[in-house]
Amino acid sequence: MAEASTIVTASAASGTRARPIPVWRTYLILLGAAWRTLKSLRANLVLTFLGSVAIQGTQLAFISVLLGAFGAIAGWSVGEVAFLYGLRLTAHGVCTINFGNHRQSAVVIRNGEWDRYLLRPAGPLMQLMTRFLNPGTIGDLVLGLAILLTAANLLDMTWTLPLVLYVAAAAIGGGLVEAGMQIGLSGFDFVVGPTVRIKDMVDRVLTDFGAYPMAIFGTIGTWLLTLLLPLAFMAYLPAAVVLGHEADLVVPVWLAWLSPIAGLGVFAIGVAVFMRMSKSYASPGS
Amino acid sequence: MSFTVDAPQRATATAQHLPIPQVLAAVLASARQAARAQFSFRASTWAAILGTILQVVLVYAVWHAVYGARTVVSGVDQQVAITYAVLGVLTSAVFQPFVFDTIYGRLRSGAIIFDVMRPVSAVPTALAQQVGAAAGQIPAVSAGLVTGIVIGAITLPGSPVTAVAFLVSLLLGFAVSIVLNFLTGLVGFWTLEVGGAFLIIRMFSQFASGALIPLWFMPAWLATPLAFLPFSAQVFIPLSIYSDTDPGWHTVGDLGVQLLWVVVLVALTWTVWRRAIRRLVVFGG
Repeated sequence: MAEASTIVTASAASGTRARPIPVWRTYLILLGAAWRTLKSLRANLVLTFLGSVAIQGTQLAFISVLLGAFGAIAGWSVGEVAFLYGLRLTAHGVCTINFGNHRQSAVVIRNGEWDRYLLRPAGPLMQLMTRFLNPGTIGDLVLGLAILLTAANLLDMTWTLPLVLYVAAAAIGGGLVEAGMQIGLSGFDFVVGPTVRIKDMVDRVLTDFGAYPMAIFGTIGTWLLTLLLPLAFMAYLPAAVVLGHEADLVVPVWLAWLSPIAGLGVFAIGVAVFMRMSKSYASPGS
Repeated sequence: MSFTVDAPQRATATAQHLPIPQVLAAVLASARQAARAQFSFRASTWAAILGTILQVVLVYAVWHAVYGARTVVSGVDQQVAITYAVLGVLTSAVFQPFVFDTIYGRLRSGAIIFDVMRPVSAVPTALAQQVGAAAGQIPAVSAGLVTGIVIGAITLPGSPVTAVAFLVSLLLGFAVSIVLNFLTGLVGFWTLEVGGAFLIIRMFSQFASGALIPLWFMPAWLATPLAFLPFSAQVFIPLSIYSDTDPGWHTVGDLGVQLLWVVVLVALTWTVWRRAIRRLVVFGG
């Protein structure tokens, strides 16, 4: 009896009655569970993977034919556009592999799965993000890296270690910008009902507009895609400075170089918005 | 418990007993329900409208940029290419709405049993649902159309003959696309899961139909085989008729090719459907 009460007091002191598990370990446990679910659904795995490659492949085929017939877009050569496209797709893969379940938020809220998340001793947002591993997201990353590497070889450039590290940071930063935006939007599911179509539209705008050097959208278009929708930070700004297209930019060059850091900021804001909105959660009672 | 449905004979037999007005009413109700499902959430409707407008602006900007100072590339005038590209976006928005819950989605849950048990065959109701879903895209597509005309991205057809031929061709193209979608959905009778297959066919058809880029700009090794596939009958043929300044017998020939595809695909779908329905086993109870 005395022993039990000591334990209770000890855990009460740390603010929880459960034995605390480090956040990183929780994440790995949840990820492992998602991986085991995935393995049991092998039949659909290949088709989903191919489906994802098909989405991006269509876009890629379009741009290839376009560049094959026209040669260049707004002063960017075939290799340069391919590099931009590859960087954007890699960043997209970084987002979808780690945070792709943001799209499921509306379902989770409506069917009451969120109740379970609140009861378990792990962050509810983390549980949402590790809910399911979508094999299609691996397709995004693999295809993105393949295009990025092919384009990097195609370009007449010397790839120093700092430059390679910068491109890697840009890809991760770009993924975090996208994840932050979508997670923030998911927060609105708690308040105004499903936003999945809006999220899909944002996703489509990012995919479609992100593939081109931004100068083609004019100065106003570029400002909108930099400030209203921070698409510029996902791939265009880092690609422009790496490839020496600083003259196209509407923002100072130093800001363009710092764009990988924007990812951390947007991600933090997105998560904060989501957590704030999640306080409005009303259980469906099922 | 499991039911094996030896349906086609029974389903068609009962369907014959139903008076035609009732069958029509059922089909219309399916179409209306699918159209209304597109407007269930106001935010989604606005997102679709805004998304379509943005697509039109994007396509205009991209095609403007690739032409740059040139006016003619690969024998195609800039204005013709832009009109084609904008109409391509709008056409594929109508032809390929994201609808998974007609026959395809219902196979997995077993709800398909209600479709095949009804006195009206599941085929016309499923097709009607696709028509309804397409009709649900009309507000967004109209917004895109108006945007296109206002920013000067769409030029009107050259003559009334062209306009009429285009509308006929568009209807035939729509028929090809809904039959192809239905055929893809039937894969589910074998695999129980069509999300992936549907995505692949949707994306492939968007490219192969010429909705993204006309076959004119493709290298011959790509354009020739694509012209022999049914996909080009969906979008490429109608839009080439639209931009054709001198319609004639070749236009009639194009319409004939589309009609041929409709007939071939309907026959193929009929065969596959008869086999599929024999495979159907629903677990429940």
